[in-house]
Amino acid sequence: MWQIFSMPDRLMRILYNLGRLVRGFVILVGLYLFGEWIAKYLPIPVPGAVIGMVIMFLLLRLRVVPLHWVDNASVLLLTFMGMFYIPYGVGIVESGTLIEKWGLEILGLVLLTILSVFFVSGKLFQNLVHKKNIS
Amino acid sequence: MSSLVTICLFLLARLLHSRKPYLIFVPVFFSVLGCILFLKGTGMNFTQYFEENKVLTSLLGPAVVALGVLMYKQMDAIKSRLGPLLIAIACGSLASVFLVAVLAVVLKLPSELAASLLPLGITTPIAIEVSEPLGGDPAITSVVVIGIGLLGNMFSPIWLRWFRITDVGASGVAIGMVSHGIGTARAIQLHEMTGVFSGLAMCINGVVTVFTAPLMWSLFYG
Repeated sequence: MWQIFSMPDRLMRILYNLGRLVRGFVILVGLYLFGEWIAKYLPIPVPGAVIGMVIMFLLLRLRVVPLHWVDNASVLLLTFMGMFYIPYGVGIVESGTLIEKWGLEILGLVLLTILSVFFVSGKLFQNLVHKKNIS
Repeated sequence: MSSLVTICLFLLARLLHSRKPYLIFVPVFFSVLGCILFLKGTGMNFTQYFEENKVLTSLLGPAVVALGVLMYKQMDAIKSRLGPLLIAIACGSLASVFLVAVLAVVLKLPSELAASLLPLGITTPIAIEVSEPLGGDPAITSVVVIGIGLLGNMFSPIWLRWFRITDVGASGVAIGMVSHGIGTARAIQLHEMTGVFSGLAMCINGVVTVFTAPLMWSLFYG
């Protein structure tokens, strides 16, 4: 019997969570669009999304926006972040002739560079943090 | 409609990868490969596919903004490591543009190609802005940058083991320095702090390289 009475409760809970999700999305999308707008007026090429990210951080830091307004929407978006890149990845099939002609050289250059940078930045950071903690 | 194919492949890959963590099942790689085969099989051209998948790519901007929420949650961890972070990024950025410039000279690459490759470690929108004024081709830059992102997304956990990078923050810095957003998407799955530091490294590296790339270019090709 009580199950029938609790049905509206569960419905309310779902609607409440959905509402929170929508509120989070509206804030995140809004800040992204605002960042894109600001980006047009900056002298250096910073993507609008990165500006939006900085503003998001500042709004949370200055307690203008409480964390629970944007928490679940941001977790959801970040969980599926990889998916949003797939269409760009598929774009690799469109590579031009210059890439095909120098394919082997590019591959060698890329692998050597990214592995070196991966090693240098990761190790350097790890050792600096470690040293700071010991002293 | 093809956006449904993308979404289904990604969800399938997530399921497979959580059961059996084989390299082939790494979600982004698996889905990109699947979608390419789908395009070849149905004869759909890329432009149409990309147009139909705008639903997904338009969420990328808000997802990057969501990284700001993650940074706020990890604020204390960032604060205590800000010095090492900036040093590691500055050295990494200089090493990256220096290596590309030297290797391009050694391999005798045409200067258009060298300019296109110079900002290869940073996020696509900035990379294009950096390479174009130096005489690079934005199409080449974006293909290479995205290709590297896919490599990072797929192999970074293996590279971390090779180089014995065990600290969760350092892992993020390494991933974000080479494979920007696509790598960050993987870093978030490894650890929340890895995701945060990957996102930070991606952003700061992007801005720093705006200055280091033209500098290195003028040294080698000026």
